[in-house]
Amino acid sequence: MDTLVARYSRPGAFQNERHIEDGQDDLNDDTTPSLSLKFAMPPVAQPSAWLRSATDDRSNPHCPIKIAHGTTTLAFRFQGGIIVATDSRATAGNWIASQTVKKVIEINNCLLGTMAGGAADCQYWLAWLGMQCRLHELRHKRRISVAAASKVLANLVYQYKGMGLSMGTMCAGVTKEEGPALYYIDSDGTRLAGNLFCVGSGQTFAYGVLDAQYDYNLSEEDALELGRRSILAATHRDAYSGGYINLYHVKEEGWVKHGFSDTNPIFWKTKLEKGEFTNVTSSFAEDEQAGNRV
Amino acid sequence: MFMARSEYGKFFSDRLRVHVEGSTFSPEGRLFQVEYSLEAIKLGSTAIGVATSEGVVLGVEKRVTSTLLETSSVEKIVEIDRHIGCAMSGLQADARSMVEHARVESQSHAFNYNEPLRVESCTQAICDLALRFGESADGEESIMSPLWRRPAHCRLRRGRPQLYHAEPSGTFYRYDAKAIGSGSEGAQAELQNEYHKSLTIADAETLVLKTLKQVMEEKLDAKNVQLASVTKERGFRIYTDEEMAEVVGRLPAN
Repeated sequence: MDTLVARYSRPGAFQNERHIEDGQDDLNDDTTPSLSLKFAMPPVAQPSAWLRSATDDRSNPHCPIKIAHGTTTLAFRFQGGIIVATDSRATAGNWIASQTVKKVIEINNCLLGTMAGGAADCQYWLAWLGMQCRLHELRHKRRISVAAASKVLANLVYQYKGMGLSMGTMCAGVTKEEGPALYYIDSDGTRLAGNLFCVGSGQTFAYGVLDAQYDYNLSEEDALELGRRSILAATHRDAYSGGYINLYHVKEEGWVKHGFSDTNPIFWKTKLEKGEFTNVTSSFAEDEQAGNRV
Repeated sequence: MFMARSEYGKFFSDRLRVHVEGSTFSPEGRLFQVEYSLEAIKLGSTAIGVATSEGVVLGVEKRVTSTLLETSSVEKIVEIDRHIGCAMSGLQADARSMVEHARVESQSHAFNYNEPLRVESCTQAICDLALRFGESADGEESIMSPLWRRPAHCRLRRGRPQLYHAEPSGTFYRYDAKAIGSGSEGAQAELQNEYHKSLTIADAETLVLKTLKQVMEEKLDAKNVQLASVTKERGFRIYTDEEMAEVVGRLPAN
């Protein structure tokens, strides 16, 4: 009898939980969204394959849903901490959806995450990671290590492996125990520690510049310039990257933002003042040989 | 709707065994579990909170039961989030699960709504949990939590900092100043005399320690009390040993 009574006299907060237990995913439920990691899946045998057929514009250019990806993001370790730099373009197929996307996600005041792949997946799960990091901090009275934070995210995405998540992210932070620490995590569940990573459609262009000039003992100023220059190279050659250069420097005291700057003036400054990007010219090679420099 | 149990007398023959299916009312309509828990917290150590326009000060008595005890491990004031702190009296085990609940509640609120959890909502969430201790869906053993706790909170953009007191029965009230635990009666009377709306944080620190000093059995020193504050500028903060020594030094001698 008491069991029966209890069942019908539960407080409202419990009702949400019962829905999930019963497997009834009520989409019109207007109560607080729960934190439980249970999502409604499409009612087909292979949800991931079905989702891919609807969203993968590479295998099917006429796919009905164009997910926003196409990006250049980079992060590298050096003696003064970690430099994190990204472009700011969001594309959905051939369409430039935005030129002012913030692809560096401030997980908390000492941890940064970068965003490549599905914007929604990255935004949501990095915000979720921020919450987990804060809870860790409250429970253990110390900041979470970068290794642990990246592992939390890697374990999470692995649970959803093959279900259509799309994210390539880097977690950067500096702690007393670890020093500057940088991890790459993607939606396959891969988690790698490393000195430098570039992620996104423009990654190869960024790697070209970064690999050529990278040195762990770079000064802070040179490191910031290298980050900026690598993104600039990628925005120049990759049609899916562009907009603004978002630059951060992570130190042990926390991260410092070094601007969200338009690529266009930076490009012309680099070309005209430093003499780089000589490929950009209106004259042909023969003209150059004839001494008609433009 | 609820069954009245005539055999409730077994409570009295075996008081240690608080084992019932759900919350069972006595024929007089009383819930003994709630009453016991309300009594139990009166055995707990004293905790005091004072709200001022600049922020809230919380203070607790740490009962140092042994000279071998590491006093820094006695935890009676905890952080729930940057803008909410909590001082507690009663069973520490129950308090811990409630603090965990409040922390998750605060974080999930910020995650879902991108705004800080209000103190009132936080207290509400804790009280919901207090009620749930007394019930169980499938007749498992359940224990009512004998705990009396109080989250204190700084202002949220506008308005005065707030101080709430939550009882194990699930009721909560907002106070300007409140004392709980074994010395609460004397301490509350003292607060009533001394409190005024224009207290500063420093005044509140002194008031909390002065009041604790009067009701504590041990002689108050910087080791057996703990202070914390929640202010707009610095958020929740537990006082360091040096700060404690400074506040204790400020107290009038005798």
